[in-house]
Amino acid sequence: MSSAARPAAVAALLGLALVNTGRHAASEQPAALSAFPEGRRAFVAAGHAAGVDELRQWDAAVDGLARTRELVVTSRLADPDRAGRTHEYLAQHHAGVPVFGGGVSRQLDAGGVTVSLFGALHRGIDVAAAPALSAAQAAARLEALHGGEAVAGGRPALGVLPLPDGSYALAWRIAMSDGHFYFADADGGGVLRRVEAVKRQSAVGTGADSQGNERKLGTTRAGGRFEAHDRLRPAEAVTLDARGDERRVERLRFEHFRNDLPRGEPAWTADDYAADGDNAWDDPAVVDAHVHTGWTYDYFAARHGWNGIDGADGRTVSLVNLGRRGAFFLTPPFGPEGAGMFAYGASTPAGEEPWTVLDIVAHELMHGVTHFSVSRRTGNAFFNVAPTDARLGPASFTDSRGRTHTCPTARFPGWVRAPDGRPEPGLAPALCVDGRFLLAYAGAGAVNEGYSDVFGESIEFHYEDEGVGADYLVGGDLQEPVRSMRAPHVFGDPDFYEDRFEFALTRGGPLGWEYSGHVFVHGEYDFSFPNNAFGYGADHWNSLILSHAFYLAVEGGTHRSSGMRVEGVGGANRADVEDIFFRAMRDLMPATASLPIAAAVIRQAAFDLAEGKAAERAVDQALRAVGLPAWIEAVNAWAPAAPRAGRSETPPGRPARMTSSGASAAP
Amino acid sequence: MPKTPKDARHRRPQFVWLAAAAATLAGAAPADAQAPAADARVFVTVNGGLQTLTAGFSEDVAFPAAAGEYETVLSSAAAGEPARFESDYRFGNAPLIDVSGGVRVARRFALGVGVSRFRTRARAGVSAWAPHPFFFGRDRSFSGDSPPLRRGETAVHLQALVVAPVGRSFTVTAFGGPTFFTAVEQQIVTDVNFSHAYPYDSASFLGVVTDTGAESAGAAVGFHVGADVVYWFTGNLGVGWLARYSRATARIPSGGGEIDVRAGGLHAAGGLRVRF
Repeated sequence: MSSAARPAAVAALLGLALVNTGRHAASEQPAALSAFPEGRRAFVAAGHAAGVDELRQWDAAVDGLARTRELVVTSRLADPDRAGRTHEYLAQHHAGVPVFGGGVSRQLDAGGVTVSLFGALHRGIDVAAAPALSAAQAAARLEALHGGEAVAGGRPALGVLPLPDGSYALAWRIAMSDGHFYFADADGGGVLRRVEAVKRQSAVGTGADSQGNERKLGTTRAGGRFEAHDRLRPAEAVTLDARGDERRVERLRFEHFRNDLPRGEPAWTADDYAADGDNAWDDPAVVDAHVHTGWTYDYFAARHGWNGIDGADGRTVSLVNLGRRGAFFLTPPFGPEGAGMFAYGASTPAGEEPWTVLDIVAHELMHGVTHFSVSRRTGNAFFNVAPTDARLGPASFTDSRGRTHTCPTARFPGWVRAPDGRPEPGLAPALCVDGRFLLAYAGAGAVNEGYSDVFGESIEFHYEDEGVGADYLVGGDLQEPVRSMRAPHVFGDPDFYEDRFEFALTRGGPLGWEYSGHVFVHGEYDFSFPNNAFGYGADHWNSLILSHAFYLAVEGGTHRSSGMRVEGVGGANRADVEDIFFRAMRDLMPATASLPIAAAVIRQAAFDLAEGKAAERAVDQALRAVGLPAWIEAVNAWAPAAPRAGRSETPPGRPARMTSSGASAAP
Repeated sequence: MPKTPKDARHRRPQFVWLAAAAATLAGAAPADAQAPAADARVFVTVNGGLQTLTAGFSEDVAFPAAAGEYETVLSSAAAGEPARFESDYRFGNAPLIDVSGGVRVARRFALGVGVSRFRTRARAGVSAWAPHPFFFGRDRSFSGDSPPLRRGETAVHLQALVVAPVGRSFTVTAFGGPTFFTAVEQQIVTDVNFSHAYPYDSASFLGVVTDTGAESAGAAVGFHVGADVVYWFTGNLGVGWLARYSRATARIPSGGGEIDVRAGGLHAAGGLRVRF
């Protein structure tokens, strides 16, 4: 109904209600009544967008119809989200029988005042409510005509069926064995309408993924094309296509947030969808991302009872063809509906090799699981809030360019305050404690990345039967794999906690403290990032310490440098170790963690699930093998009552006690 | 009206009503032999009975792989792979009516024509395979029975008959000839509804979609052979027992193609025999 016609119809309906209550108001509003004549339907849409007067008029009309029993309350439910609010549904009746589809839902506030009204109402129904055929007779005629059977007697319901020409018919609604509802003429038995009992818009498309495998995609038909919108799973999955347009990427990342839209309200347009005309998809990036998102959903649901990325079957939104390298998870409140987003680029800016192979997609999605599982318990995302296992480094060091840096006069590239007060790149003072550099790494980031690698590879193994190559190589199907959980050192990554990469820190500037670009190993300077880069906490590099432990717990073996032997549970029992790791993150992990804290949490999960069993032993051995012993005492010794930085007497190589504020780079 | 046999004329008062009934109901088996109607030239038989040994048949329907909208009806579930179902039609005994008549053309030889009609309803066993919506090569199989489906045959039998008297009151007639199945009607399962739920690893039979039977009708020419044993308790009136086997293959429309349906079976019937 147009906005122009609405007031007239409202007034007309109000008039109708008053006529029915015998107040003779219709004669006082003949013009209004003529706007809503007999045989017409009115669609009621009076919510926050409607004016107060319009809402009140509709409300009065509804009340009038309720008094005459033309509207009958069929349900009254408490609002699950807004305390005190109530939702009631009023079904329209004609001469005692319901009008199929007629009725309004009314939202009431705590005081009983109507907040909104939505629905459809009919006027001028001129059919008698006495059927010529009984329900059994109508069902028998349908069976004779159709050859099927009325399901459980068809559960027939008598009602008034609105017809397209504006007329009405008395009809029996009967469920038949072909999965349809039939509306049979209650007078003649003919079929007036047939509708599917289960309405689906879903479609299944096909296409080749980046590895040349033919896959199926859950899609949706819309507007003469198919969109990468999977509605077949309990949680919807939407794949958008950036088409290499950086402005589109930025819009999808931030527009929802900037416009302060309600969470869950999509800010993408039809043009943003990955779409295909014939449902035979030919963009491997779209096929990969969409299929692998679905598979990852299936894995978490089947293996861990975790429904959707957020654990509550929320929609998953992905974006492909970024036009640049890499892949990332954007946490809420960002993303095109404020609930995060998973984005995938390629190995090269030209996009020849999309970063959408299964373990990469599953890796990113696990970041989402980590985020939601931790934040729902703790109220916080899994961030590098503080370098909880920072330690003291040398008092001075000479970098690879021959420059010597000495505390406390050292300055490292970082953020400084400009004369106008805004942050700008510059040389920030080093953070020194007792005249020595403070060294730290991104602990939560390493745990986060390690978990994503663990479940990225676990999901690969889960789908080996689908032709997926599972190999403990992150990005193993790419031309250049990214990391190896089996042999981290091959890629230059640490596989032992004491071999972790650390960074000298800069003092809190306009953007807080930062990891400098100077990298330390074993407390000694190792190398510096080129081009004065800074801010990276070695999340991915150090993550191999944890993910290598997972590998050892499953496959067993002797650790390359510690020489410790691990009796793995074997690939056939990989799920036992997966369960332990998943429980640790889902139920136990705090809002931030270092690798030792994560190891402690994982051990607890192993104890909870496999006390005295092979899996607990394997996990413990593996964590010890990578240099993460059962340091519960040590962690407890410095975690509480931490003194301020600068007062530590902890020698180099031991955890320093420190508190700090600020945030690390996002994982 | 056929001629009334001379020897029967004096019996007319008690025979008229039976003849009238016979003319109405009809039946099969000529009569030569036996006095008092050894010279009867026309016969009419009316039978009621059963058609047994109705040949069953199977149909295998495959919906070609498609990549379109996906619904829980097999024809719309061919998600990248063919969906298919097999329907197996089997029939039990079914009521039959049969009317025949003929003329003796030689001492023991006659020519006749008979019309038989039977109708029944029988469930079809349905086995179906629906592709998995997410994965290739993971068909879900399920099975169930259709509602009773209509089956009907109307046949015209052209008969050559050889009649042999047995004793004083019995005749045995052997006959055979072509049979024209003018209407072989079979209600056909055209699609299968199923239900499933995430993760869709299994599916359950929900029901079938059928045609009305009228559009799946065909015609065929076959043959029949049979025998009829009659006890004549008067010169013109008797009761008989008929056994006839008929067979033909009819092609009836199904979906976009045709399927072969074997018509006919064994008619076991009995009824009145009248000769003039």
